[in-house]
Amino acid sequence: MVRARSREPAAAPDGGWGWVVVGVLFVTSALVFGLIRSLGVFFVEFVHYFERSAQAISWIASIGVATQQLMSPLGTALCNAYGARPVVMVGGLLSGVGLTLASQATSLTELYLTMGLISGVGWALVFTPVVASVMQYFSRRRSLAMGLGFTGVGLSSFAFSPLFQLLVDVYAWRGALLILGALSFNMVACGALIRPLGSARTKSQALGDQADETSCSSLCSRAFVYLELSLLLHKPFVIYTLAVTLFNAGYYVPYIYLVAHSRHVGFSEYQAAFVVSAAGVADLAGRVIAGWTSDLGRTRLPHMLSLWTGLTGLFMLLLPSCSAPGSYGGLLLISLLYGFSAGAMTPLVFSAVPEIVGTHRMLGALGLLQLIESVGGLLGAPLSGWLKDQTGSYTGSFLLAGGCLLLGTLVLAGLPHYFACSPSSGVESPGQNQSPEAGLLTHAVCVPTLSKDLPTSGAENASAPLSPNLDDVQPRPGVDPSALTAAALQDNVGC
Amino acid sequence: MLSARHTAVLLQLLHLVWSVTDGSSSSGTPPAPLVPARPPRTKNGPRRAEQVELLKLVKPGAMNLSCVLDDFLGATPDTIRVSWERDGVEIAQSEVTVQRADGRYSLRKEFFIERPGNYSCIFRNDTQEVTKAFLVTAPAMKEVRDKPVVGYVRDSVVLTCKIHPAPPAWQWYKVNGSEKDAVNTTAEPPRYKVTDKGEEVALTVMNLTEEDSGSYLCVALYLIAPAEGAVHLRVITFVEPLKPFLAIMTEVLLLVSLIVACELRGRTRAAQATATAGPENGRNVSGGEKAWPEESNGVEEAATRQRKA
Repeated sequence: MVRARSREPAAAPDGGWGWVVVGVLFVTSALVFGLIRSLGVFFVEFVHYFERSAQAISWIASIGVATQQLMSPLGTALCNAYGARPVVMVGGLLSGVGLTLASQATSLTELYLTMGLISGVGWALVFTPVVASVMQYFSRRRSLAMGLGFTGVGLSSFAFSPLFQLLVDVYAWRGALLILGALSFNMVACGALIRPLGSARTKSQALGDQADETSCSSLCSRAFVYLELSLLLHKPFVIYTLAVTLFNAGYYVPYIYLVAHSRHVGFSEYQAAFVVSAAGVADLAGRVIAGWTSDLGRTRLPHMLSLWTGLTGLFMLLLPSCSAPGSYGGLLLISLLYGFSAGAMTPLVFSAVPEIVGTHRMLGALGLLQLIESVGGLLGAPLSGWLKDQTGSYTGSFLLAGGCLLLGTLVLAGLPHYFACSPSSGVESPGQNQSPEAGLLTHAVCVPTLSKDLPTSGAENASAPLSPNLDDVQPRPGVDPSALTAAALQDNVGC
Repeated sequence: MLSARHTAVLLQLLHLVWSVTDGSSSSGTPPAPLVPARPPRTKNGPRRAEQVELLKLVKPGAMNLSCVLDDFLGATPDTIRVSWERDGVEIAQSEVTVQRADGRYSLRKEFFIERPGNYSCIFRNDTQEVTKAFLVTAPAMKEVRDKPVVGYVRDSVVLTCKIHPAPPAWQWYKVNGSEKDAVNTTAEPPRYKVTDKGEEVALTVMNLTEEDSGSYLCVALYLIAPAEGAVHLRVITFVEPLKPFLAIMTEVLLLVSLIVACELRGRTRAAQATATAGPENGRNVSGGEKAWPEESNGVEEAATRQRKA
């Protein structure tokens, strides 16, 4: 449907329907990551039924997560082309279909294909577009919205483990997977709730005539634009991605090794499990509180992020030494602090993206970020495991993880204008640092409006699309997003 | 007060009356004195203080059973008589007299134990007895599930049993009413497969039918005695999980249609509103993709924007 105007401003409502989309994020993160975290119940059954080793079975989850992260750019590219709503609905359909087919699997390979690949692609098509949609709906309270949405993961892992155990007891793993598939279909309903803000076809309109051609070069250029591959040359994005990859390398280590480390130091099974549960609760609290405090606007978002990642790294480094003397209280305290700061950094990692690349490229940025940060996750856990095998204790693994986080914090300081008190021109216009081809495609449409806004404070701009955004976006003290968000919001995001 | 002899006679009389009414015959042991604090309700009269030790054996063999007593119910006579019993029946010519040495009475005897039972040594004097019992049993099955294992028709299912230590052989039975039939692994077409992994055994039942539901017994054939465990199997058809599946699918379809219907209604309402209000108010509502006027927030914002623009 071609609109009369090619540019529609997409002001972030910061409320209203936005909270419904936060609810959608809650439910989808529960049904994606909460589900993945609770699959352990099934693995015991698979080991018995298929008579294979635990390692072969654990590949199912690994393939699922890897597919979700690798296909994230695909998800965001499709979102750029068609809008978030259809993509999330198709993703929910695929993940449900994958689990339903898995209930009929007769071999482990079939499980890899269905639960791993098909559901993995479905999860990729769901997760990142929903995250991006929440970020579009909020600008002032973005971090709080993200924090609230992500609590879905923590709460669902508490609820899903006993639920899955019950389903397996009553229906065996086949019936339980069938019911899980039905539960995953709920994400289709969630996707239906994501009302598009603004035109869903801006990017394809920006491509102009080329959108109608089907020649190879036009497809390639469309893919290039949708995938936002030009971001790979965007220096702040590259720095940020590197930092987040380092974060990812260290982030999961305590989750995997905390129980083992507690047992190793000499505490009982029950005590070790309690430490992990306590850290999980602190994680939930950290997400919400960090989101809320960072939205207060006292400090810039990259600074807040550095604070929390630095603290997380610090607590990880302290963890082995605080638990070594055998003091349970010390271990519990450090784990609580670690859980809180680890939860705190999660929503900020996502909500800092629009500040770095601008709202109109946020979608592709999220996809690429997920893809590249998965490398950190893939490397970090085995490396820590290898360290443990070499040194015999988990101290080395925790030190490595903490070191990765601190290194990432340092890399974060390399962002341009990091040390400035306000990001006066934090976002470069998309006309720069792009390949000429993509630049030609978007340049003609983007630059004129941007060049109007960036040098001035935008409030002087009397054009109707611009000023409403400024009134909606209350400028935070110390931060001057009016110029950048107004300019960024000017080019509305595809979903 | 009554002299000790009178007391003893009175008690013997009472004991006689009591054992007659009980219907059991006294085994000839002297009656126990009535102590108000403890009711002496043993059939054989003498009060016994028991210690019990559990012994797990896997095969018949010689065992050294040793009994040690620090004092005999508070008293420390120089000598004490000790006899042995197996399963409540006294072993002939097993009574010996034990001297008190190193502050205690200790006795050791070697038995050749062929089957499970209750072996006990009894320390006795004229009036009282103290026993120490050794309960010899085969090992017990580990991790017995009380919830049934669920399998699907035409699918296969695996039933497992675990025990420690590994028995020489395992045997599976299916419980049929009050009998048990051995599971036939050699029938054609193959329906049962037994995988013996030492401490763990797995029975794979293939091509399930509803008649396969019921209890299965896994028996660890130790040389001393078999150890049994029961596993319950419940075979269901795919209709059972299909019911909650269809219920959830219906809920999803209802939700989706509800959401789509609400939105279409909102759009038609907004289209009508803009048609009547004119172009100034409806900058957001051209085309079919916007839904802002549906929510009150959007309406207020739109109005605010128009005023401030």
